Amino acid sequence: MAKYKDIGGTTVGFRSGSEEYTYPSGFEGSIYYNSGNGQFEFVGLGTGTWSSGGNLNTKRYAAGASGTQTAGAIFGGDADGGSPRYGLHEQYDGSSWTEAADLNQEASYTGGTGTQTAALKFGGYSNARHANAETWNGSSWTEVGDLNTARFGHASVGHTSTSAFAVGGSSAASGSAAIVEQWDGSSWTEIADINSGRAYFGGSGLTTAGLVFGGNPENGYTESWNGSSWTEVADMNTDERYGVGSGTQGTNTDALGFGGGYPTVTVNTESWNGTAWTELNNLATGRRNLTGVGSPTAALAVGGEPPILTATEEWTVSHAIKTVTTS
Amino acid sequence: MAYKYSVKENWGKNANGDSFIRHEDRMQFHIEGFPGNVWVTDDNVYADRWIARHSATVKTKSEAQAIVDSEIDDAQAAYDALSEEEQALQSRPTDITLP
Repeated sequence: MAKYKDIGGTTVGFRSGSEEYTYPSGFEGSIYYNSGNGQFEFVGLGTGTWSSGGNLNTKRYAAGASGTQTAGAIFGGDADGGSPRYGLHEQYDGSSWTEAADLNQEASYTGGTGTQTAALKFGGYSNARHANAETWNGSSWTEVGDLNTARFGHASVGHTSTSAFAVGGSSAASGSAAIVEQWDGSSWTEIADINSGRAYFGGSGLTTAGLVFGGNPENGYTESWNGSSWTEVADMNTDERYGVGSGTQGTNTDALGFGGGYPTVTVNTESWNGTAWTELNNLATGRRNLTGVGSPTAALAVGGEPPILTATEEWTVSHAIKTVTTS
Repeated sequence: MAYKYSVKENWGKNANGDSFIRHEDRMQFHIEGFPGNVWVTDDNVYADRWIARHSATVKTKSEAQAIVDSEIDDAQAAYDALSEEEQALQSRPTDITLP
């Protein structure tokens, strides 16, 4: 007679109960015997919350970004509506921001992808919309091939400095563009347009599995890229998402959108699972045109307005250890 | 819902890794920031501990609203002083009514 373990069972682990599980730990959903209290327990689903991070050295909104929550960077942006915009560049180590070498071309509402040590900046506004692109090698910025269409307020998609999309944005005196350009590490090439032209919106994911959402015109429209075309999928729950924040380090089935809104700013945070948006715990401070950094499980919300902020918030997913009860 | 109003500058995160607003704070009580370093929290023991931890200055709702109004007035004046082109790149700060 077959034993249950042979059919579909699993070995129950034995732990002291003092272990910590930082998401993703690899133990999500696992059951174990806690020798510390004599209970069977399991590592429950993570719950994300925002806490305060280190403040920026220079307040700003509409900056570009690259990297992760513990090795992030923001560059460009604006603080007073004056011209030219900032070329300022700051790097985050998980607790504080440090100034690094400035961009060659100042820019607000610029795009960014990559890491803290290998980043790409593209487009933006500085007295006029521009097509300038630059790469960061860990010590300096170098100008590379320009976008074909000058723009600002576009969304960024991509995880690296050698593979990215510049999506939509403001590319004419009025109105919002649907034009998408792909960066292959040396030049920009136009690919399929998004269905709904827009600006000041969020982007996440890869050039093979990307996602864009929110923005102006005011809506929560979401479009998913499968490697060959953009498809409209479910809207965000909060449609007032002008200037929404998002880190690019997600996919088209795993993304996080936070803040935004006009005229009233929102504190809402939403998570995308490939099918629907789910509301999660709120930001402490509502803001739009904030800069998002990182992934759906470890993100930064940086700066933003109004008023113009230095504040950073850190999104971290933690686990609840739950006790198994029987009857 | 009863709220408590306080004022304290957000110092972010210090070298020891301690945060102005910690993850456990967010799990224990509602807190929301507004212009002028005004913080609106639940009126409960956890929020009281947060206020005490930071030596934040407790305000009445009307006092807190006056601080926010002053900040918004200044931000609106700054926006109105911008050129038309600059204004097109931003949005005029709107009045905020505290909960």
